[in-house]
Amino acid sequence: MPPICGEMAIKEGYMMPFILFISCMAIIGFSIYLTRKGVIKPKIRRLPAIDAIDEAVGRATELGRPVHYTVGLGSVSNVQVIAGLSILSYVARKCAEYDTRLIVTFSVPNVQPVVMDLVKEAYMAAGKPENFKPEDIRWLSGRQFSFATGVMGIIMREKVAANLLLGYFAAESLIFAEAGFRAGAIQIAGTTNSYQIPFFVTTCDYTLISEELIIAGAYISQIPEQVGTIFGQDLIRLITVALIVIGSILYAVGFKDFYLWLNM
Amino acid sequence: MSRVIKRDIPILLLTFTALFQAADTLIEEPTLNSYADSMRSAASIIGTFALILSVTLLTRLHTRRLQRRRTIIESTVLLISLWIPLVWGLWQFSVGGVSPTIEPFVQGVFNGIVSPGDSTIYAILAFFIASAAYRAFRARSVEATILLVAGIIVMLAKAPIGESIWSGFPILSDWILNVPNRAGVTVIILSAILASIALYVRMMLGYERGWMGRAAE
Repeated sequence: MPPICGEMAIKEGYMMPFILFISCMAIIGFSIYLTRKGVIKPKIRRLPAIDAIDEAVGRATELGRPVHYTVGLGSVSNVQVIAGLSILSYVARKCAEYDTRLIVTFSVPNVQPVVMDLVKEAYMAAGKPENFKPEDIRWLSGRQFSFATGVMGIIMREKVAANLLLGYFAAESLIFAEAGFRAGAIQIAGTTNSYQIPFFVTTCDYTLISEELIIAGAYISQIPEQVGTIFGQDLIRLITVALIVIGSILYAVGFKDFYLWLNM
Repeated sequence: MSRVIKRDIPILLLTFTALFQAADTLIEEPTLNSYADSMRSAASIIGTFALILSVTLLTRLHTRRLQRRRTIIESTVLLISLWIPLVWGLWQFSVGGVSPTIEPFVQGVFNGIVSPGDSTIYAILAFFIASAAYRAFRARSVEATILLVAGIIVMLAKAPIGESIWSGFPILSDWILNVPNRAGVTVIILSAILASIALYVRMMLGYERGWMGRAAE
């Protein structure tokens, strides 16, 4: 690649990702601008799993049993954990309002201060800071199956009425979901890991599949600018699908330059 | 001032770091690449400090439980398992310079207790999969019936008896895995990537604030 400035050059094979990165940012930024100006008023389709959170917390309140929430194995830099934290903020607020005990578990220690702040703020916002219990924010283990054992134990011992699994999960996903099923909990799960989605679909009452988990924070907030980013994301998806279809047709008829250009 | 410290500075740091790391991925420039590498090392060092907080809170939780005479056996086992290998490993390292990765006692705990425990929990998955599969494979709707049929074909293709029954099972199974299944997985991955980009934009603009322990505005 020819240098842009001095020794600086686009890495070999990264020209198209560079163009796509800039384009994606521009499209999402423009969508936010249009939404803010009121030019477009995008609507998000209903997400039953998110709508069911109120029902889950309400059920836990009626039964007088706790709500369990886990963001799984990821660290605070993981996109699924970040999405899980956005939903946690809403769940914590609901639990604080209804005086329902909330137990939060995670595997990576750097999630702890963030969760602690998030839940504490939710209790303060609900006007009940005295109900916040730091001991219910639990780091269990950094090892996958030790963490799974800990979570399974909490679900069974505390007889949780709602089991919310929203974040990054690997092989332990089914252990959590089966433990929740056996405890008779209403279960809401979400992950982008395609290997774990089938386990959640078969064992949980509601499942957030892939991007549904990541956009859940925007769905809950309903802030126009946040919804605008989802509009931008859908626009990029349409362009991507169009490029895939055009590329496939051109490649099939023997015109390979377009394919090579996309792999530049 | 409080708003600047609690909101604006973290968002500025996030934006700078995110764009710097994106530039490192896309652009070849020795100084930039070297600084980006150092930044990642610094992030992992800062993350390690969170472990101290987590260990402290876990110890406090179980010490309180012992004081209140609740879950005495479990809490005692946890505190012993947590602190004895930690103190012993640190002592051996500081006195003898023996790394915990080769120290016999710490290794004995891992090889004799932790690893078999992990394997046991992993093995439980087999029973959970059977139980989940039973519930999933009840043909209560069109989708469940398609899942049932696809599952039976793939299972028969993977089992030796499948090919004996009909030689077409492996071909059909490969088609299911490579065409409809792969198409579905590709959609899931593509959607997640696009949603992640939009999420990072929301974070950089300060709309999404869960990552810094604050609720959305």
